[in-house]
Amino acid sequence: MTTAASNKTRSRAIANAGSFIRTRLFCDWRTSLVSLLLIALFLWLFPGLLDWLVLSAQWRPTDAASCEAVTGACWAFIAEKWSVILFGVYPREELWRPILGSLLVISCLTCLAWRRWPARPSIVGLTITFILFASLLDGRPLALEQVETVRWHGLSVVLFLGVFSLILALPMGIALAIARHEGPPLLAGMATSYIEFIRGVPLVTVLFFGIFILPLLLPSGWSYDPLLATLAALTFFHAAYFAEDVRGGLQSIARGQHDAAKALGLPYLARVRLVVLPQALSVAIPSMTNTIIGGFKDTSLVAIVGIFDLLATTRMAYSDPTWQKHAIEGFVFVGLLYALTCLLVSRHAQTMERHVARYLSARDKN
Amino acid sequence: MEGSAGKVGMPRFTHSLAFRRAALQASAAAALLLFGWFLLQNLSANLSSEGIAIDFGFLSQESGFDVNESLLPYTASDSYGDALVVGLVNTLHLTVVCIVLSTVIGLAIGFARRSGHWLVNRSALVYVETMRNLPKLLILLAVYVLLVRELPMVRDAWSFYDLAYLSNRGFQVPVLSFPGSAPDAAYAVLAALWALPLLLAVLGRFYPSLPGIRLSMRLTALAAACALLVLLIGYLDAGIEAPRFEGFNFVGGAAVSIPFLALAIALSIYHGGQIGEVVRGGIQSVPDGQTEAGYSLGLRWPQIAWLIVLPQALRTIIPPLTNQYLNLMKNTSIGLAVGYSDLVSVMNTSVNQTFRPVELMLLTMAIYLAIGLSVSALLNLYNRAVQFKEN
Repeated sequence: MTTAASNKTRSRAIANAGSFIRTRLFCDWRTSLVSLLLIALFLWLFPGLLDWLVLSAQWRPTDAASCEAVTGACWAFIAEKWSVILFGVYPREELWRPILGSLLVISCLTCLAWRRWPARPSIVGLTITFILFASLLDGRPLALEQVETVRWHGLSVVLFLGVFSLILALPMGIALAIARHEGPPLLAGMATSYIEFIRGVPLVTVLFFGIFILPLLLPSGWSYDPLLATLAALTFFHAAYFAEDVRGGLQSIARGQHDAAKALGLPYLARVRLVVLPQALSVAIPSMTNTIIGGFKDTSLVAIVGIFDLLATTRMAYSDPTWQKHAIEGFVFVGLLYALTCLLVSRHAQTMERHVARYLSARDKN
Repeated sequence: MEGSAGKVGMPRFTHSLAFRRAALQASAAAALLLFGWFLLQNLSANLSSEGIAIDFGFLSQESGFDVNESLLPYTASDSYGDALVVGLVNTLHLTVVCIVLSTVIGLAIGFARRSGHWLVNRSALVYVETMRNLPKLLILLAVYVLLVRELPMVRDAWSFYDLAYLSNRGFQVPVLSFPGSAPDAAYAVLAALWALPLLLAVLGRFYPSLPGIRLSMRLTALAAACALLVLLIGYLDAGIEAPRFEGFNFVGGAAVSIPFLALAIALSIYHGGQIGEVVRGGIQSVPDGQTEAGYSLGLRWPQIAWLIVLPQALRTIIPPLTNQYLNLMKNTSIGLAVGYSDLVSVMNTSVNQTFRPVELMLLTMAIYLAIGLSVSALLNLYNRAVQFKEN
């Protein structure tokens, strides 16, 4: 009975695949030609790639010498150097701290993405996570041995800078957008010139500003930390981009929304918080997703000003003379990490977009 | 009694919207001024404790460092100002090359994404998603490592018909050489003579309504430009100077360095994906009826794409494309990671040598801003030219 059913589904699947191939790939001679050319290209490209990545690769965690024998990738490099790639030169015996901290941040973000949370608990949760993460890595607040920020490397830096600069930049971006969109002329002018200035210069120069100029702008007694300066530079940079996304959302909101809220007697801040922003931010989801993904990827540029992010630690790992030939394996590994993260973010954004669209269509029906 | 009536009846001045706006602006301006004063105060205190003052005079001092590659003549005995100009020219050179390459890739990807062919469509989607989800610096470093590692040594360089050679020292390409020593003014006049008909030919593409610029006219102009070019080469007795391998390295011709090659490849494929999405958006904005109308007029697909879809899509494409080009220009600053001497790289070296971060950062940011603003102004003009003419 079951075999008959599965046979039936299988034969249907084969029939479907057959009709798919006939109608979509070989329906006329021109389409067939293009299909054949592309298939030839893939046949030329993929076997070599597959062979290098999987079939001829060294999967067992051994030493570099045994990788000489294989023609494919040497994944033993990752097995040997994963701690260097992920956490750089953070002290070996304290490695549990960045691991725990990173897991904490990732689980907090996953948790926040899983269900929709009200604003206040999310802010409290993020703040606690940030403080815990920084204390775990630094050590002093938890009465552990101190590890200076210059030894925070790899994943910990990417999470510290990438995640928290984006989180800190969002409220600043919203404030800038509101100032530019509906502020009095002087305020709007200030916000506009800030946004246009930041959007006109490369991120690398803003990062250099944080490294070269920021220490000169602080009072001489203040301590200066390159990692914190980079966090500030990234925050100020992303805020300008968020501001433009949010402004796009604000522009899409009908004037009547403001007036209706005013007629209900809501004061200005409540109007913005309860009526305008929820709608503006929903509209701005797609462009904000682009900013978030772009900003997270661009965290890697901190490697240029001497902060050890994942790319710099990968460089560190393959500059070890015994593993010098295996840089590409390291890049594939880090690239997969980045691609996975960005894919998850864009998936989540799509879910949110659908949710908003459903909500909006339900509202319009009533 | 009267006082309370006044309170209820007349809104207090301090509650009026005008007052609130004025107060808000005044306090924001005051806060900004105070903050700026605080920063400047710190800056001058810090600088004077180091014993230096803001002064752009150092730009004319001898730099003492060499840049890896330069389109302009430059040696270590030239000034910091010269070094910055060399860096700027390198940045612009790379930007122009990347803009051309990434636009070609972007157009191909954009049309492929709208193709009815399943396989073409999906391959383009995979390409776009890959570029969307990988950092550009990672792509650059991977391309750079691959080039350095996989290209042969100079001795075994890959030869392209004995004209160009590719090795791990760079791409050696042939150049036009002029053995005759004509004065610079003659070159300028000849170049202008050649550029004029070419300009006429290009102008007609965008302003077909200008008097006299018809298709026949444009074709004639193009032919004249080609003929002039041939004459020019013949007159100057120009030859093609191919690179030759002598001793331990190549002599003659011109070299495209490995950092430049890596940057051009990485930034072009990265931005090609992004521009592809822009182009797809533009094509999507052209109603299907336009394509169907084209088919029913008996046009073929390339004609429809070039004559009907693309000109209309340009209206939607131009603004985001401007952004992409500006992003590309800004992204060339990652060249520092592979040792390409762009503006930021020269700035970085100069800061380390002179300890004049304030002046150099101001100068660099101002240059980027100036280029960005002028490019967007130019593209706005062009944008106005391709918009719907309604009158």
